[in-house]
Amino acid sequence: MILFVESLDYRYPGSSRSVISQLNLECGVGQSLLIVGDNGCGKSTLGKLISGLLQPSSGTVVINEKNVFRLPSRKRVSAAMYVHQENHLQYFKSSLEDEIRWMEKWMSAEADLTQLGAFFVSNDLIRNPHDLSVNEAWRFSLYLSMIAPPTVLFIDEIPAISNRNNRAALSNLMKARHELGLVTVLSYQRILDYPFQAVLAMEEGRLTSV
Amino acid sequence: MDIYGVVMRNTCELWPDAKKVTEKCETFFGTQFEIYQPSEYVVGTSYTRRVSEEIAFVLLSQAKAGVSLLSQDQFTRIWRLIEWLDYDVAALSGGWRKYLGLSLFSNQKADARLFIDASRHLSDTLLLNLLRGLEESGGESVVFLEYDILPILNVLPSLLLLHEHDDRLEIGNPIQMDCSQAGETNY
Repeated sequence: MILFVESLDYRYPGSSRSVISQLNLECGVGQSLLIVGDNGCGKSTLGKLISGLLQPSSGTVVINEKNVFRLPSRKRVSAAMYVHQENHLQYFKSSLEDEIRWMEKWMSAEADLTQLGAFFVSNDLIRNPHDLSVNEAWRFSLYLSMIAPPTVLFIDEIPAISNRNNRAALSNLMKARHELGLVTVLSYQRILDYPFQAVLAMEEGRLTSV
Repeated sequence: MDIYGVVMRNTCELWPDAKKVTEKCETFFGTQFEIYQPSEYVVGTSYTRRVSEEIAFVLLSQAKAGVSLLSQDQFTRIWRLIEWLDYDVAALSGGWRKYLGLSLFSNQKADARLFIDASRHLSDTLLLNLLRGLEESGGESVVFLEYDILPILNVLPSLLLLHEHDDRLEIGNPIQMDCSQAGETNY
């Protein structure tokens, strides 16, 4: 197993209610997974737990036999990366080029600028990331995630599934990650007509098969 | 009340201010709209801590301005927020936080409301709650400008579609999807 989640439980500080409750999940080599659920069911929280952005109340997240919460931050990002549902929040440089250079430096990797086209991002790299539209910003996040592809990528929502550039970018990403044997998880409010290897429903903090 | 959705050729125009398409809507309807557009940094922001306090604060402000539609009891019932009243706003999920903002915005008297990027993050349940709440809020017309028009169309098949033609909008036919082409459309 690449990703192994066992008995995961999470309560937000000051809350008596578990958002994630005794959740178990396993993903193998190259697997893609869609997690579907209503607003407030815990999809984003699960993504942040898997990516080590939140510490669980109890339970473990293991990626390639290593406990995510015990990894130093750089290794943790190599193990699991989280694409935020508000992508603009993840940008802090004043140009796309600077974002790319920062990612290269942080991950000790070299970006392939010819791959921007696969994500329908124009190569006008002097643009400020905050000037990108919602869809462009999301696709740029996908591109950044491929500079040093993490073992597990959790994408918290696709902003517009009817947008054909988004669909093509997601397909390109999933194909590339599958070929590399990496795990891709997408969360969304609805079932999508995409070839995910598994579709799970999230309800009351737990996952069930669809 | 009539509910419209604009079938957009290029959704990149929605960011940062949707000025061009808003002008087309104003020309088509011959009116000025109350415009909803979420802030980029909406995450974790509110005036007060709890949902009940936030509703009371905003409704009081609206009442002082003479634009409030509903009392607090009516508001929480119609917008189906009763079970969330004791929650911290910051502890709500992204979708519920956005829905709270949409409901508070909609509690202002207005003949015409224009929603920009309202449906993103909302499940079908919250989309239906939003449409029901808007029906109760009155007014003549509601227009949605969305990155993805299909989720609203799926829960409201009677949605009236406005198509872009050069510098104007026209009532159009049902959407024909063509997934073979690249593009930034919202259908």
